[in-house]
Amino acid sequence: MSSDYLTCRQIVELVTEYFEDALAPEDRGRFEEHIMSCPPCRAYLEQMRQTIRLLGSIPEETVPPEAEEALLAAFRGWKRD
Amino acid sequence: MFAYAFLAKGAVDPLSGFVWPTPRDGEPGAWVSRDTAPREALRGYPAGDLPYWLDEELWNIELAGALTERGHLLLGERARLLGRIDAWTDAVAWDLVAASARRVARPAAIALREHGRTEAAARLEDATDLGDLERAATSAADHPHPAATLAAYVADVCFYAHDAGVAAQGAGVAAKMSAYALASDVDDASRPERLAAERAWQAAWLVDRLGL
Repeated sequence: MSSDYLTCRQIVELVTEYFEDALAPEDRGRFEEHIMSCPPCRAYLEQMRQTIRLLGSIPEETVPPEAEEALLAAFRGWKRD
Repeated sequence: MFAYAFLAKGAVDPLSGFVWPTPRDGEPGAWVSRDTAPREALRGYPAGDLPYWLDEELWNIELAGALTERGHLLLGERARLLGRIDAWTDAVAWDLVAASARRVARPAAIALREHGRTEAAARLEDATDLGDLERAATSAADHPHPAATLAAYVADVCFYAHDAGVAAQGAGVAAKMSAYALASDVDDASRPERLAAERAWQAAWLVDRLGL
């Protein structure tokens, strides 16, 4: 990434790497600067953080077997598509 | 090291969601470290970098341990909040929006006047408040004309600042948009310097206005 700023589309593409701390320091800085001057992207980041927090708090055993199977089937289908 | 920190309402780090322990009874907030807070929350900003991080609350922060400079911020190993800077208010944030928009309105008016659009230029220059400025800029930009580009940027700065909903976030939008608008007519090589110069002007405005 050589541009001096990131677009909103790039923010969406990079958000997982941001949460995983996988961005280069320079890119992380540009990511954060964009977030702080773009309310929609800031809201998106907050929604993602909430989602991760909530999903991270669901123990695996609380997912009903039928729901687990439906999700796995959906993911398998998504892979094939 | 002493620096500044912009936080969301309630002393919340806007990027990690970490809630800072705040000062009580005249004493600084408790020290937090990488064991008790996200590493990225242990950050502070020099006065010259404040315009990049505008948010609802401005705090004095102390950073300790090995310091890492990264772009427009400093990361520490430990940090604590020293006190809130009450001078940073919604009203001041809106004043920064207006000041940023007027920075673009000046060259916009010059461009309009150079192309014979004296009345539109005068409306931009004479605008008394942000609403008036937005109306004048929108009107000037309504006519497809090369001289109208900067006026359109002025209208955008005003519109998106209002659209942010939160004064401090609107100021962040306006500061960034005006810097890029003013750098839009320079070549790629000198654009970073032009952007930095505008950010420096914004930082100086904040330092002066907030008495930092």
